Amino acid sequence: MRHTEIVSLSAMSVVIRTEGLTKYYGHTRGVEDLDLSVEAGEVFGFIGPNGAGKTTTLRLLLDLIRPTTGRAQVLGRDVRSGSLEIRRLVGYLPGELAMYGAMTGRELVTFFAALRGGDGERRAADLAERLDLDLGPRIRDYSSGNRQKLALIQAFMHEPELLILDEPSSSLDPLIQQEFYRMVDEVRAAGRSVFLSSHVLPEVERIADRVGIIRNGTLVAVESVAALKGRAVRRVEFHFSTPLVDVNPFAPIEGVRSVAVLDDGRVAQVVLEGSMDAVVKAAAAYEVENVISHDGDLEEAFLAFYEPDPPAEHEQSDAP
Amino acid sequence: MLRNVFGKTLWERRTGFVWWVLGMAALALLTVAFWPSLRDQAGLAEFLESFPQGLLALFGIENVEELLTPAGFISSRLYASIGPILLIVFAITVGTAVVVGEEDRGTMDLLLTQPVTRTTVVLQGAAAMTILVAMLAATFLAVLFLTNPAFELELRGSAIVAANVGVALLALLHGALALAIGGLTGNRAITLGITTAIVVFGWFINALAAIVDELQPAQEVSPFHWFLQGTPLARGWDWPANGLMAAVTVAFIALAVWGFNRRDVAT
Repeated sequence: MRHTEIVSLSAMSVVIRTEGLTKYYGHTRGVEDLDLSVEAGEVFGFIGPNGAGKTTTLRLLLDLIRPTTGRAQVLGRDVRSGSLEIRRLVGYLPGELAMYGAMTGRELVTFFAALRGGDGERRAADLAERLDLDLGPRIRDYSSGNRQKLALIQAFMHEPELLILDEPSSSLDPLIQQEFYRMVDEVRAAGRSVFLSSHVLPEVERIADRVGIIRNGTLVAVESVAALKGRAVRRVEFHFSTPLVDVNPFAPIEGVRSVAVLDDGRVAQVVLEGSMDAVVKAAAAYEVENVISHDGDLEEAFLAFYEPDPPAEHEQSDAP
Repeated sequence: MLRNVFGKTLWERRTGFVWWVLGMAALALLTVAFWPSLRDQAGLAEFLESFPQGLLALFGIENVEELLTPAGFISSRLYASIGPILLIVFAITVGTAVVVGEEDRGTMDLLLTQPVTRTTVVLQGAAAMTILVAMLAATFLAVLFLTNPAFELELRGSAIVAANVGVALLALLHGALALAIGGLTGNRAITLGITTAIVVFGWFINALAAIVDELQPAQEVSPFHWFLQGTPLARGWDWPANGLMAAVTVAFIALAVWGFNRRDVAT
């Protein structure tokens, strides 16, 4: 399925394409054999746990680090030989946010605008107003939320063809987060593209068109958000007062992807697709102490869907 | 000032640099002001000659007779001891900040995702370092020109210029060394460690060679020896020495460009 998707994309305008992109730091794995393709006008969410290789991928695209093997193109240019031109057209927000503490917000904007040939200084003032940021104070006196706002401003201010954002909404308060989502929507509406990393699936679901899941340096899956939502994979945890002994009431239910019975039968973790109704009714036959629905942890459930081999602690499972 | 990497490097130094200029001016002024009392000291030559030559060499005094001329005295104090060391420390500070310091603080990622090449970062940083070191050396120069008549130092104008160009080149060479090691390694601690070790080695090999004859061939590798052998404040321009220091400086900067371009940016 992924294969056909890539073939169909190649006919369109592709803003990011990686082929077998691999990065090792000595013997430590960064990313391995990454084949990725992001099309023009698309918001692509790159999701995975911390240390999975998201930042490595983004830094490879910007020529901050060099691939061990494989190739990557951004906006039709090779990331190595075409880097200067790429960086003219791309806005980047680094994940590890360090900025010139001695500068004021305005001085940073002036400096980066000057490096871009004077592009975007006025727009930066508008963005600062939108995000409710005072550009006057020194950056070292900013809160981490305000630093993040400034980083967003410098990424957006020259209206880049492609935005590469590493964990963009971390440390933004919810109201500003919404404003940031609107900024992303506007970029898409203008036909420009966004490639963003996140470890929060609901956020990516909110703003992205497609999602790539990376785990242990490997791209596990690429899905459209629409398909993902239709699948609605969830994880529910039932806590029983009397242990389940040699029974698995959930196994026969349609839509159940996997069941893990833990804690001597006192806890059952169920990963399911579609309606919860049948599962809840099956659980009701036993004495239920507590039910925990992991809504904020959707990606783990999502990953479970793609993991044919369940981890060792899963005593019973009937994942396909 | 915040128009490019060159301007930014100057901008970052702006407050500290004022203090550096004041400190260097004070050092030069106090050195010169000390000359009349030294000159009038009867029996000083005999007193100094009673010290072991090795001890004197470590204080930048190689020749007592020369020390008791204004050029020799000022040269030994300002150009053969604390003066060049301070200038070198300053140059190394800037040379380190340009690449590896920026990586250490984590700002290099943001800088290099602007449309700026790594070569530009190194070259503009090196240019800013050159300007700053030249301005510090010019502080010595200005003080010597202003005090020359009043204190009857009888220094030749061209010799004053020669000495300051020489000491600036000596400092730049070491600043460029820090830039090169930073460009190659991306590690600030290693950069400062190796650079300091090389400065100390160059300094001692030059000083010790004055008393240990066996060390004299080794002295040839010391940039301090290149600069000091001609005593430019007394004898004027030493073009081969200046050319050698400039060439090594340029080579180090080229090495920094090459090293930084070929590796990953450190985080």
